[in-house]
Amino acid sequence: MNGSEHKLPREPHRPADDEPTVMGMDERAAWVQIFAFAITTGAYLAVVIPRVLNDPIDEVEWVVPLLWAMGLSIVATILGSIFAGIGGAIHLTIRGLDPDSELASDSRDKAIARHARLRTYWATPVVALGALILAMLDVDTFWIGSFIYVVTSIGAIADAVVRIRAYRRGFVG
Amino acid sequence: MTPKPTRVTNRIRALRTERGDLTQADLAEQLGVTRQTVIAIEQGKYSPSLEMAFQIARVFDVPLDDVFHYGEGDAN
Repeated sequence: MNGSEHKLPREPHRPADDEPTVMGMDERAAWVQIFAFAITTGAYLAVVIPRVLNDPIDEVEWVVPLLWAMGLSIVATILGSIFAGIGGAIHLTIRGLDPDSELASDSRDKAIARHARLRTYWATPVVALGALILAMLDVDTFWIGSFIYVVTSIGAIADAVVRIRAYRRGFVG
Repeated sequence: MTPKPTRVTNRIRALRTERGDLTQADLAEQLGVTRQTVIAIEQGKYSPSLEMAFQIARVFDVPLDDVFHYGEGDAN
């Protein structure tokens, strides 16, 4: 048997016009960001809400769960993006397309990221103003810490949703 | 059908066909962008920057308004 006849993965070929491609790295990272922040924020709330309902608010242990949620959301975003990129590269290699060019980022990705930052800029002042108001009301630190974390997570999810929408439906810079 | 986000239309696909030998991948390489971006521009899902628009016109060696048109459409 001639080894070159059954070579796997195939040698990259020049893609034909309209040959289906896969999601670029930036769009993959946006999907990962949605899942990472939704799951970790949901887990944080699932841990602390029963405590809030059952314990006096000043005895609610929230710092450690919050640190875990923050750490895991960062780690999950990084590892998720790496694995999503590896998955895309394997898929493209099997199809005989060059992963470097098909997964690369370009000026459109940068423009979409900038567009998403502008659309979700509200998260920063909402966090700052909300935390300030809660501090003025002298509420327990649980409310301040949780408010900052949850609104920041919502902002990160909104950022990713805007980016995916731009990739899917189109975008005018 | 999702409305197109721009009123800018283009003749890139037609110009590529006239050239005969220029694929989306070739054009992407010449512009320094990904094939996805060329596909998005051709489908009217992305309006390139003015600089890239001039680069596209230069690839085909035609004036800018032979490539891009601004007309009536579904834009916001």
